[in-house]
Amino acid sequence: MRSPAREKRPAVAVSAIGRDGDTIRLTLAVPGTSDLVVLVTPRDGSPAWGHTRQLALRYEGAVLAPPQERALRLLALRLRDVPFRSLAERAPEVPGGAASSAGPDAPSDREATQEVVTVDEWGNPDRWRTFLFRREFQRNASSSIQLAGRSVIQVSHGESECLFATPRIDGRTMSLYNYPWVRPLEEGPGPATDGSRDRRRLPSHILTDLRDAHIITGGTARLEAVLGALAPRTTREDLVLVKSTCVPRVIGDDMEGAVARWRGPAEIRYDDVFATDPNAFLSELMARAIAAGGRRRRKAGASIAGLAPGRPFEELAGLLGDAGVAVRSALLPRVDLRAAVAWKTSTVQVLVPNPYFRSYYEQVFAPLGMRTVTAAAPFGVAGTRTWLEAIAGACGRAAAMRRAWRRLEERTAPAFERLRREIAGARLGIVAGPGELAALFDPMEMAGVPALDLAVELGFGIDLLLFDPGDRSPEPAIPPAFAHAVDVYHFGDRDALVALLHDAPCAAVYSDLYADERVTAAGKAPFSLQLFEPGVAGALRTGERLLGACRLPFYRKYGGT
Amino acid sequence: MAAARVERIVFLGKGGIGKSTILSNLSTLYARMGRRVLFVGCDPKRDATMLLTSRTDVPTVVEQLIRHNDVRAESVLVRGRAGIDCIEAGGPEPGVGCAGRGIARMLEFFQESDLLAKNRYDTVLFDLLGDIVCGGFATPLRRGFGQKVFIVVSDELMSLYAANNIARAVLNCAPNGVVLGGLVANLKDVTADEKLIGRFARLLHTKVVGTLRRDPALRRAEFKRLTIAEYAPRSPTTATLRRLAQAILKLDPKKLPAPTPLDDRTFYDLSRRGFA
Repeated sequence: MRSPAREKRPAVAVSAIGRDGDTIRLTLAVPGTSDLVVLVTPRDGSPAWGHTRQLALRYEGAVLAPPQERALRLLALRLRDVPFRSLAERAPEVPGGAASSAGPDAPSDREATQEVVTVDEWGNPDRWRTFLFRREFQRNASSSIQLAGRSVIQVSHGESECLFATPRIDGRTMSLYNYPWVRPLEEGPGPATDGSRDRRRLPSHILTDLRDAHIITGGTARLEAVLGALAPRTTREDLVLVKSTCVPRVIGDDMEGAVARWRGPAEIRYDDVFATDPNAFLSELMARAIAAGGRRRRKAGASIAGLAPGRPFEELAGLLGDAGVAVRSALLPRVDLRAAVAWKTSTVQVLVPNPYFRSYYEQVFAPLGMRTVTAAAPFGVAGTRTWLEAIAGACGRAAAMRRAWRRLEERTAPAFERLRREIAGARLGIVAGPGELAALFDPMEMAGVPALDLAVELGFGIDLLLFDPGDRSPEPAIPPAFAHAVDVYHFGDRDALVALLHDAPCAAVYSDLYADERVTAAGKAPFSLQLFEPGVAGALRTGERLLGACRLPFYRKYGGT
Repeated sequence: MAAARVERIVFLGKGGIGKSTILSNLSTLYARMGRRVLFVGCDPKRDATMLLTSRTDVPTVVEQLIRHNDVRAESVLVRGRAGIDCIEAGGPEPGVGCAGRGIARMLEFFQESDLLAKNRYDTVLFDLLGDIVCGGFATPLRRGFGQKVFIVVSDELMSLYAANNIARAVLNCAPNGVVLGGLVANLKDVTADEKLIGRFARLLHTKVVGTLRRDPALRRAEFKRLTIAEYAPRSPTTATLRRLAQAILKLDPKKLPAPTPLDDRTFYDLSRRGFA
């Protein structure tokens, strides 16, 4: 059962309504400016300000003030599915077109709900309309980088809550129990990752696990105890990497000193996340490992940076393999230094565009002087094809790739046809400010993910809920390639945003906030970049996930109108 | 409500000014009045508890936390000579860790164990470090802990500067019911300018509630590891401390005005004129 509060949808203030033949006159009371008279007629193809499914909307006057335009857009939304006859029945016949006062059923400002958008951040006046948290992209990118391989032992100096309580989401489920290793070294062997590590009983990740008492008395001794226990068990082949969370920095722990006092055979480094160039250390490691590696071979091969391991990687590597291009090495976000030694044996190095890996690309890979492919990230069918062809072309395997692609297309076409049929008519919502608009359409501003390109390629329509600051600045342009798929709605304040979230046709709305209540309260499902996957099969899975979000009835049943 | 009758007294002041000495004497005097006294040491030196218990191995909350990852009242409450219960926060070695977190952790233990809420004590005295350098040291001024704050001062400039800063902290914590009870002058220098302290107190909108003067008996008592109230119960200093103890009890927190600390520039401007 819907609550009474939900019945009161944020409304357009219609102060008067009247009908003269086939023209209905609606007078909109617009706060802060003069009333707006809107003429509604049956949709007949003649020019109008805008159309709904059955109606044509025009207005009296020469120029619309921004608040008037917002009110008109809201009205269009409210009348989206309303037949002319139904509206006409509520409008008294008034020859000459004079409108009578709106009846009790007409929505008004007085009825407007007092619901507010509840996500807020102290001191940030724009948080209520912020759905895109690009600052978090950086953090996610940093935390995605994992040193791997038997030669690396990571010592995390800090508290387990900070390091491992961040939920990890695999696209379907969320786990709050992401504790890879918390037992101190003295208490027993850790999980072995390979034979050599097993023999020496060394874990790949040790956490000093600071507790209250360590914070009070200082954690340096605990770090030194861990390093002291570790030292005799390491060999010259190992790399001990010490990282810390914020707390040891705040209480003044001497991580640099502890590392300087290391007496083991292994190389040890302190990875200072607060350093001016936090990537420098990893860059140095990769560069050294690559330099120690072999030279170029004759057979076609690619070394790829910026593509995470997993199903998409396997698919893309398989497709390259079908064209005779072997993937010889891959780095970032997983950094396996053993893989790095094969880097230069490839014909080309492929740097998948990603703003957060840019400094690695510049520091590590650019100086190698290898032939480099920097084609756009392989998202979607078109993007994947371009990417594969660029690599294959650079390796002299273009014809083989064309053949491999044709086979792939034949295999996947029915699945895409079926998916696009299901997607037809589905719309995704994006809330943005004028300053964010360019970023939305630029993958380099979206953690390297061309999310809108892929969504539109799959057949989704986009409802862009655009904040209008009311300063009469020119409206930012939608790139022409997206114009056919994007409908723009404006909002100027919280109430209008709530109204749009309720009324806009989209069924899912982008938000980087997990289970964003602004979206769910409007009866819609939130989605974010985590649903987007590279590759052709990845595109199919992406489409299914987005469609699943659009179809999710839970929020509509319990959250929305 | 019984809890409302608990006297919650906090002593603050520049390092070495005599807070622990005065508080340990006041604790003894209150105990001898028949009051049930809890002495709370928030100074890693734990010197006052050592004086009240004649022990040098005083356990602390932080030590218990390190050894057992848990704190139990029976492990950290030490009964002193006059029946005074003492508890010490303890803290890190100088230069490492976070002593403020140690104090905060002890007060969390107070809440966990209901130490102050069970009407076990009617007088709780908090001996804090000299300066409230971070939020951890201010936790005794949070709601439900310290209430009447007294600042021990001498006529030395930096002592008064610290007092002014502490008055600011009291003002910040006033919404928690914290009040400035007054200044306690501890004049170890026989030539000390007592009137200057009076003028400074008026600027802070407070009073000097007690004045202690140099007394060799105090030093002798310390070497005997006794309070002067025990070592020389009939001495003038003990009489002064007794009057101070009575005066503190008589102060009604509701009638005490909010302090009016000076900004730094005004402080230094006025100090040139002896706060006249």
